[in-house]
Amino acid sequence: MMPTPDYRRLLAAIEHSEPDRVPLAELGFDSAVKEAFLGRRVRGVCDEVEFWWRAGYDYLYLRPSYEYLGAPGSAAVGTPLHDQPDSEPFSMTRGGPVRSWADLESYPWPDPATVDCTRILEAASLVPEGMGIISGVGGIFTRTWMITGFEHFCLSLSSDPQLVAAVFRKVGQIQAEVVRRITVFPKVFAIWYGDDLAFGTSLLVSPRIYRSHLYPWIEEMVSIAHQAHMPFILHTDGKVWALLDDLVAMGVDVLHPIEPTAMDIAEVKRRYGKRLALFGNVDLGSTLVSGSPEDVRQEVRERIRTLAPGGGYAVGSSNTVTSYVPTENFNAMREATLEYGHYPICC
Amino acid sequence: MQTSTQEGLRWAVVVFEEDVAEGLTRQALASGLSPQDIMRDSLIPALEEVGRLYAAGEYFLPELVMVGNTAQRVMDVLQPLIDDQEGSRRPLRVVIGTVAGDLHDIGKSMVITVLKGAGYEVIDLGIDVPTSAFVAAVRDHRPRLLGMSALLLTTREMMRQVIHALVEAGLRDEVKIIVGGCSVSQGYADAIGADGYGKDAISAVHLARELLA
Repeated sequence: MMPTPDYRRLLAAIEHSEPDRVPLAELGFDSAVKEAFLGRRVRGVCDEVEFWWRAGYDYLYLRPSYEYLGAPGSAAVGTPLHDQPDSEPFSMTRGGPVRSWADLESYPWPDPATVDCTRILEAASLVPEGMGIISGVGGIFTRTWMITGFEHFCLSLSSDPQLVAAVFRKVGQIQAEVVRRITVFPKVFAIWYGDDLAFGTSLLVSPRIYRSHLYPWIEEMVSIAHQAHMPFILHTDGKVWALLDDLVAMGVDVLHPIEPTAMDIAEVKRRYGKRLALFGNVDLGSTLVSGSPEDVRQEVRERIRTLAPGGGYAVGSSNTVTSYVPTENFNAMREATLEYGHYPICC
Repeated sequence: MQTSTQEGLRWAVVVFEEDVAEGLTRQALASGLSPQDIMRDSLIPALEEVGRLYAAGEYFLPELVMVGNTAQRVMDVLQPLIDDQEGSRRPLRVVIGTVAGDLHDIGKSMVITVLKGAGYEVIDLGIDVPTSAFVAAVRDHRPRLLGMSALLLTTREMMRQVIHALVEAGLRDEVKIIVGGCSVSQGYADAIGADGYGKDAISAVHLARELLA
């Protein structure tokens, strides 16, 4: 049976109403996953559209193609630069190109007006009836420390806080303006912003740093999205309890992916209810990687049973679907969602 | 009995006042204290206090980095004196790396920062380190401690391979081995024959001190 995507299914879930079934939601997939599913190389937007459609998603996620030079990994998920086999990973031990005020002035900052959005426009012309596009930008906090180098960023918080503030401001302006551009593209119906603010046991930096330098830009981007009648989805790894009240107050509509080892998703739902929709949480750290397909099915079933009634939840991994997730487990997650996710939930 | 200099040095490290810490280190040496006295009574207690602040959610990674730099300033003064006292085998050398197939270095970087601050000489093999490179590093650098990090369930098995390779090379008894990372647990460390499991950077330092005592 051919998939019947409907982006309104995901919107209904975000708005805490019950569509026909619980949707699937994923920030991204490693190339190997897409290629194993399709049985061929993913060479362009057409292949991307086909993958997300055939895999049962109501949308595909695509970002504009640009990166911050000298900040490896800043192209990140949703761009072809991320899928290149020699793309460099994130690293906290690498130095950055902006370490002084002179560096700040001479750095070749991306121009929001000219970043390449052709893939989004191409996808808009290719998606089947009912399928939408989610777009977004990468993290302002992450790019700030990547551009300065993590160690230099940390030391500068004490030795030159104005420089840190200036880099945050510069990156924030660029990312917010790109979000503004994205919201006018056809088929785009939601903004998905990704920024790792924590790891398994702690925030990366003090909440004070986020409140001073990041929150104003999150508020700006949420406002841009909402003015375009789009929900704002926030991706962050790790334990972010200390930030959730603030994020909800700023209007973030969805939290992704809620790492099981860092936060109890049921507790998140209990505390925030209809104020915050939740995507993800199927355990990439264990079940999806080393469990059996039946383990995956049961975990999806449990997530649906406890989180989906009343809407507010979409099934997905606890990060992205990586190359080390067995194909049978990825399929089990998708198929279990279809099997157990029809409303009213009775699994 | 703690002197005001030692107390002041401890405070300076905790609040990452680098210049003050270096000055008080020199002052402590000038007063007749040995490098070992200073490390034992000021530097290590300071790092333990930092560990408590981190566990309490008052300190975060930037604070650890700044404390690490401050501790390094202290060690820059003390290390040459320690080197003069000891032979070619440094008593506090650690080799650390992320195992083959794993590209994550956040946890490893944190451990390196805190180990250096605690006075250890750390040789960082980087990420995606082949088993053979771990073995070669133990053979060539003669560390007292080997640390391995893995984030992924699929890559943590490389830790078992490294330990087996060290046994095969006749080097296992030469080095203590600690493991860490999100995919690792105490149970897993015990199962593969590691000497310890560090659940975070501060506990890794404590573990190192226990194992090398």
